[in-house]
Amino acid sequence: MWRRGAFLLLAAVGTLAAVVGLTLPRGQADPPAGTFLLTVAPGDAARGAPGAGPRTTIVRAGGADRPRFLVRDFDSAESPSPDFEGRRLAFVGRRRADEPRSIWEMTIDGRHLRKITAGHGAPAGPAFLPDGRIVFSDVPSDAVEAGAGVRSLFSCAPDGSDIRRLTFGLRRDELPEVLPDGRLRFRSRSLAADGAVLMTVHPDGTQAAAFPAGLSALEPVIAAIAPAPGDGRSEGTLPPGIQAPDGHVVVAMTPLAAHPAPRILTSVVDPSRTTGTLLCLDAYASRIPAIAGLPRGAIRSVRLSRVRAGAPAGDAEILGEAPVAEDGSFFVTVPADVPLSLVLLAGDGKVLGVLRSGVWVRPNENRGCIGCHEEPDRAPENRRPLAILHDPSPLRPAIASRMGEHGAR
Amino acid sequence: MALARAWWMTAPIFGLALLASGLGAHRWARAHVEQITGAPPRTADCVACHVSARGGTVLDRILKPRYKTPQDLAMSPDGSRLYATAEDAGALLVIDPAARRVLAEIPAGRRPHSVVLDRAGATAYVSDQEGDAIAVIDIARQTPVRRLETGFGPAGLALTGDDDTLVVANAMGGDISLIDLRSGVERARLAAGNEPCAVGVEPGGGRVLVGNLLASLSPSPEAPPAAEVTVVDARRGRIAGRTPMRGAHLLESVTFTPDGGLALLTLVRPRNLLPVLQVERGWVMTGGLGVIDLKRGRTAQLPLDDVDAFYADPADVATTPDGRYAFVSHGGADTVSAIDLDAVRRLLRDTRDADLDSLADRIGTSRRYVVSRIAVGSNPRGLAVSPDGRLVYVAERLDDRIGIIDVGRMQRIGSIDLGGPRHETIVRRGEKIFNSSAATLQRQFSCRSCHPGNHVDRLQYDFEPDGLGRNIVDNRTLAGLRDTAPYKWNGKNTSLYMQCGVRFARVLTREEPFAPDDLNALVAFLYSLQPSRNRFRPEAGGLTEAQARGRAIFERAAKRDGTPILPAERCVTCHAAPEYTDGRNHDVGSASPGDSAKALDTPQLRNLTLTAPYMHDGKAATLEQIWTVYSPDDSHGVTSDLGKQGLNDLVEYLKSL
Repeated sequence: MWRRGAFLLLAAVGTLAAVVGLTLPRGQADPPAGTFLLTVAPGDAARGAPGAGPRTTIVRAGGADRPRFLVRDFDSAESPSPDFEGRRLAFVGRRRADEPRSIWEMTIDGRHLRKITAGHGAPAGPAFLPDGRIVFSDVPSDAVEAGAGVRSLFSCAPDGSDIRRLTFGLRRDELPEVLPDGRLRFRSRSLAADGAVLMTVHPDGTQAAAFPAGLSALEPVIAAIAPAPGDGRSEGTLPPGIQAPDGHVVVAMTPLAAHPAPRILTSVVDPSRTTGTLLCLDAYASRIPAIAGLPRGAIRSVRLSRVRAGAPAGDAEILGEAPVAEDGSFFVTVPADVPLSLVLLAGDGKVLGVLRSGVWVRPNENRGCIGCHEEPDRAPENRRPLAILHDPSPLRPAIASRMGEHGAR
Repeated sequence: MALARAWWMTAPIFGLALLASGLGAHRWARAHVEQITGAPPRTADCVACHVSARGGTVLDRILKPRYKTPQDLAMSPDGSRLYATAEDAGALLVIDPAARRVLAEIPAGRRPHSVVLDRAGATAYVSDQEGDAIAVIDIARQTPVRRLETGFGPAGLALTGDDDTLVVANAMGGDISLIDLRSGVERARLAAGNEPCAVGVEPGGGRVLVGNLLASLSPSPEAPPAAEVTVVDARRGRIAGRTPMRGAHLLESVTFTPDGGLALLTLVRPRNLLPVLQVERGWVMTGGLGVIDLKRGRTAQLPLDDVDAFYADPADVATTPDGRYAFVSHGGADTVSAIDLDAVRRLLRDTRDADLDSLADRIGTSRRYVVSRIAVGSNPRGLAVSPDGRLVYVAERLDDRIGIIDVGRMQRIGSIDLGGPRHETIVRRGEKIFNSSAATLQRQFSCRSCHPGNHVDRLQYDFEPDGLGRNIVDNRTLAGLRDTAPYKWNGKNTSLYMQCGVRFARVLTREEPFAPDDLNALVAFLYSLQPSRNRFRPEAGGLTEAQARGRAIFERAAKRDGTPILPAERCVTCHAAPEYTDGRNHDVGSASPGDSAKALDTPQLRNLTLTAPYMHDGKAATLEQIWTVYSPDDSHGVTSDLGKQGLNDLVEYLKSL
């Protein structure tokens, strides 16, 4: 009897082990050097032809292998982004043309396909974060209502849950990538003007700042991780040995290689809070000549306004004003996750400078600025700002008599 | 037979009892570690805390591997020999750089710091920081031949141009010794700044520059720190000038370009007056190179960091014989920077006097003169350049190696193994973590950056979580802190695991906390740090008369008029031996308006002279001020009945602890 029991037990354990073994992802070999993930589309001859297949799809090319389609049976698949070990990739796609796009994940051999986001919004440009979360660009819900064309950065848990908005500048923020120091770099485009700038932000949405292009020591490191052509996401000359499958053209490419994961940055965000603070060390420290040339003591207060998506510059909602100390510092409590514009005011309410930066502060963040659009390579002066000798100023109502004349400009 | 049967009958009981006790012991050990560390242990590594981290015990002496820990380097004039002070081996290592091997290990005191050679290369002078002396070593005989007494804690040293005077920076004494080498007598003792550390001699001139490690004590806590460059006229034996390096401290090395045109100093620019809101853009600190043009009287501070990448803890600077390059070792970044000195000269020439100061905080300026970043071994410190200028040697302090850099290729091309133990103890690993900036966002600073010499930078900081501009706290020494829990001025951290764990990452480094094994190693290292020998305690033991009188005051139970002093108001109650702290918070009336709590942690008192300024926010520049300015109503011990003599005696006793 006991023999039969033992046999059954062994059989059960064996079956369970087999099931588990089949279910778990198998170990992946590191991708060979010179391997790329290509987003390809049918060539001119095939484009638009009946039965031409997917509009875009993802191909692994390079190394000793022939180009290999990783994504099949999709209407479109694009923006592949490998993880730090070079063993998984996240991409954006949809199976059918009438479905919304979602973020998907698979191993680099094209197996273990998994849908991550639930198929709402219009996600784009996913990238893995060192803590396993995924950052991507999407349309924020308030912008959808406004129809303003705004895109923001979001992050989600590996299973697609816990979606958090990271950027609030009401611009077109896209193409996030993880910098070697753990911050995110992304392209941010104004809705009102041409041209885009590169910005950085912590993975919790704090410390948003302009990326000091041409000055940052990270640029060569990024180039080493994602070598030519271009930035690894845009079109460019194909490296030697890389070719698109027959009948296809390369839309974009990114290198597929393991590289060190940055350390995880800690977060100060407390979602239970509704405010943060903004500390400016010296409002006179500026690249803007009109501000830098002001005599000390000229700036007496700062007016903060809420920027509205797609609205004219002067059509901002005034939140209030705060005093500026003699040394140019100000320290003010502001509503969290609100894009802000700042107006520097003289004692009589005259506008001395306008900063339509769209800066925001996350809940519980104490945001520090050296100046008002100061040089990007400037470190702060070691001086205790007078403004922090007191608690942060609440935003006091703007003086009505100044509003008509100067508004929020 | 009966015995065997009894054994077999009772063995299971014994076994079960043993198992139960083992399980119980393991459970107790886990609870013990959790209580101490504040987190469930992954392993209960008893040795780490109870042996390795008990520096100085007999067991520790037996078990501790004897690392070499090279600190400073000097090259013989013909380039055939390289000399390295070996801090942990108490020796001067004689190295054949061509053969890449150590030839001899010459005893050089308890804790050798720096080495210089005379022009003939026949004699080496080694400062013994713990022995308060210079070991004079005959190179040919490979033996110490003489011992020269110095002030407290000699560090950097240099020979004047004619080799007749040795200039010694006495770091712990705060002064400079000028020693006549013919007689071996100290012919002058000059007051320096705060912890003089580095000495450089102007080529062909009589001027000697002494870099001070710490900022001079300022009467205003709102003044940016400024460490002094003390200019010494060695011939006349007097101070020729004092140049404050505004906004900078940690002047660890001084050298001159071969033509004498420029003096170069390593430095750090702390931002301690700002709340620590962020790390990016040098918000906490930046490293730099001080440049002094003595002829034109111009001084500049040039950043050594890059935008978005920092090179922590600039330690030593050396120039090539042709004056084309300077090399700077970055102890926290495992990197040596190569600097084009012609580019530095051009920058200085093109910068107006009024704009010189603005260079210091423009990090991107470094692109104009830093031509290479060379990866080297762990915790690089001393540098030496070969006479032909083709090779740079760097002391890779915590790897027990000398790295070799090819100047033409700007690459590390090899190393010299100094023969240290292969085994890395947990304390050694902790020391590497302590000295590395790898756990800080953009590698801006290491633990050592604020705790130079495993001690303290004597600055005050404003951390973010408890409010900006509030709860300003004085930095505290790490020496002898093992049994002084709790930690932090508000006494909230019951262990170093809490102090250096998640909170540390969130408020300071802004990166993920140390991995458990790394934290364990770091704490083991911190626990191992022992206070330096107290120089004010008579070597023969006992106390001086003044100290004995001071002790009586410290322990007294009644005022001079006989009025009883309550136990809670006696110095000795809260500052109880052996650590001179009772580990509790007390309100001594020292809180400032911006402080959240009035009751503050009782600090330990050992080696007090090395930790000024005093009180939780550094408001007292001297010990006397603690009572005369900040406790006139006897809120901090009963002292109002003491006259000047009584306070002096009390200070003398406190200095001896």
